[in-house]
Amino acid sequence: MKKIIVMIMSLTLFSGVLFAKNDQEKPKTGNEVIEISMMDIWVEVEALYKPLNDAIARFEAANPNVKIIRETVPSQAYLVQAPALGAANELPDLVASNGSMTRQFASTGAILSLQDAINKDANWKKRVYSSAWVEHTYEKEAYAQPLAEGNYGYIVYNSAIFEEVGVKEFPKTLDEFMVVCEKIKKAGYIPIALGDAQLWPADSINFSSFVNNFVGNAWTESILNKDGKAKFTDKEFVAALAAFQELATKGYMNENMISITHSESLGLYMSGKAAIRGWGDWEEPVLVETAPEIAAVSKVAAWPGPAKNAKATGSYEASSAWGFSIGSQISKEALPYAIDFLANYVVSDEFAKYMIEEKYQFVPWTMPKFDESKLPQITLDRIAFKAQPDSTACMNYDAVLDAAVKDVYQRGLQSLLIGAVTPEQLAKDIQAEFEMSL
Amino acid sequence: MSKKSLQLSTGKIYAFVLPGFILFIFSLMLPLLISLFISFTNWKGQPNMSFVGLKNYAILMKDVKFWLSFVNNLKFMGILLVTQIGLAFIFAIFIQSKSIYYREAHRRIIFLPAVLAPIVVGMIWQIVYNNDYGMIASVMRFIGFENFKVLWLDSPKMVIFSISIALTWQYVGQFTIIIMAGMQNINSSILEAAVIDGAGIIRRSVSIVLPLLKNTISVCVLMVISGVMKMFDLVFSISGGGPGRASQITALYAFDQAFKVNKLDYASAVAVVMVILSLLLIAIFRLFMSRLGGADE
Repeated sequence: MKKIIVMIMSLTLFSGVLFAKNDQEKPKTGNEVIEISMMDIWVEVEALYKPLNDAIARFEAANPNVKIIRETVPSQAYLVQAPALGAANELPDLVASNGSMTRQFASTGAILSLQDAINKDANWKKRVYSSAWVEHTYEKEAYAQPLAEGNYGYIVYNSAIFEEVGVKEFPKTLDEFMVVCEKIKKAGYIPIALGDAQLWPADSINFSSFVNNFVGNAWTESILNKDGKAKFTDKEFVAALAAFQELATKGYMNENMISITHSESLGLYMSGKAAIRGWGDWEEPVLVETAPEIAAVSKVAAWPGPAKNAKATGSYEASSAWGFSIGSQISKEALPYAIDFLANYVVSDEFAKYMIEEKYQFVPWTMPKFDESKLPQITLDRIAFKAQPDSTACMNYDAVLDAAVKDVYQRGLQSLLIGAVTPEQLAKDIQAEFEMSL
Repeated sequence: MSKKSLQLSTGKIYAFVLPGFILFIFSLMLPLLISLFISFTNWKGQPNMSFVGLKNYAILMKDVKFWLSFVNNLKFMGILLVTQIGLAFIFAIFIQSKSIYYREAHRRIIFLPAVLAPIVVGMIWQIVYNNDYGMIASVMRFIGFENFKVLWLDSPKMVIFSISIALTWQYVGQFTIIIMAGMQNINSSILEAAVIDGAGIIRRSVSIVLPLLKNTISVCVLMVISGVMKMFDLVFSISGGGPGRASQITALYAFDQAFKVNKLDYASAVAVVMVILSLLLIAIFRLFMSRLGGADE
């Protein structure tokens, strides 16, 4: 009898496994719920976590037959997982992508062009700033809806430490900057906090704007247009590499800059151990909430440029590095809903208002009226800094360079900072990889 | 029962082998053949691909970054052959010694890290090496060496040694167990005779135990070689191949080419060459061992 019961149970279990319904299968017709999968990088502590959830809630309330299933993956894992899914052409229906990823996915057909949908929707087209699409454009078609008009690559410094070492004004040239760094170092502080374990911070938060003071925007545009006029071996670019290396080799950056993360370097600044740090606007709420006493003495500045032959001044990055793309495996039924979500629920007043009032960040579409009194002093300083006539908005190399060039460039920056490669050699290596991508 | 009745027919032998063989074909040979196929194309994930012959291999032969990664593999191999097998041998002698108490407990503690995921081990050692709040820095501060600072993961000269320490910590227990198993096969009368002749523990270990463990050590060496050639996760989590490319290894390079740079065709060529290099290293070692001759008792 026992044997018969065991046999029946085994058969039931086996048939259950064999004939179980695949929950991943999307409903095709009728009143069944349409599911849209979504994967992004903004976990609970990130500024974009809540406004995206709110947008999903508003969208689902208006479309009860559609459900967006969101999965958030921490950034380091995401930067591995998303490209792997893209290479396998298995991206979710809505996928967060930075500029490099967008172009990579678009080139292999892993994501769909949004251009037709944008052209058909006058309100969408009119509302989003045309400059915002640049980083997410492949062969003249937009492939992702950018989410934030990011400002980064500017400097936030601790004015109390500056005063302590007798410096009242932020230095205007690189030579003056080096003198200040020396004073700060002698006083026992880390002059510049850097954490490059993820490879992008030295570039994205520091060098992209640092180098722009040497080369200017026209040079970068020439590189991106691949017109052959600008080269990474140009003396201005090499001079920038040399100056950046000098900051590290003279001991003005923390010694463990390669092994700690960008967040850990924020800890160095917020604990008052470091005086200067390359900054991103998304970090302002963290500073204000976590270290209000440091926030109170923090001021905004730009990386100083060379005293002579500077091609730009006050460079900072204005970039919509991250956006949402639509994976090419999306079903026909879900596609119009995914487009509607991006065009009307992400690009919305509610989203914009939350971002500026709660997270002090702008969005790349027309802003509604917002309560300026909610912004902390450091954000107001940043807005004022951007408005200065000698401030220059520039590109973020991390978002615009080809992935292969970026790999050589970002790993090369690490080697440069630890003195393992000369500026000239690194410039040659980047140029060689760049020429292979032409 | 006749002797013949215990022997399986050829058909039955094949039937028993078949499931494993099918698994082997689908999980190992097929992906390898697919990689080989892709390596002769220009496929980067796009819908269509075309054959490019040996182009990817020609680029690979001149790719300094790949060969530097392979040199890093060899550096890891050199260090780990000494530390993992050498320490494992010492631990095995130590645990087998009759004067040691709680031998079972020692064995378990040494083996414990081997069951941890390499990613977890990477994270643990990242914390150990941190100069601000890391274990080493904290201990040194506690005993009065305030200024003790080693750039464990930030110095290109140190990083391979630092990662090797983590790898040794994780796998030394596994090799200890293997060597201890080999020691069980040594005839105790040989060792007893040596004791009577007045040989101490070091003399017995070097002159008797070690030569008799030649084949066991060979297995350990092969495990280190293959382990290093397929190593990925611990290096990925502890240093990401940095600083720069100072700790980049071939598997990490293949991964970067496939999923960061999206050169799936080139990454496949890298993978195929990695297999060839691994087989070559094993062949060289086997040749070396065959010249040496002899075997375990």
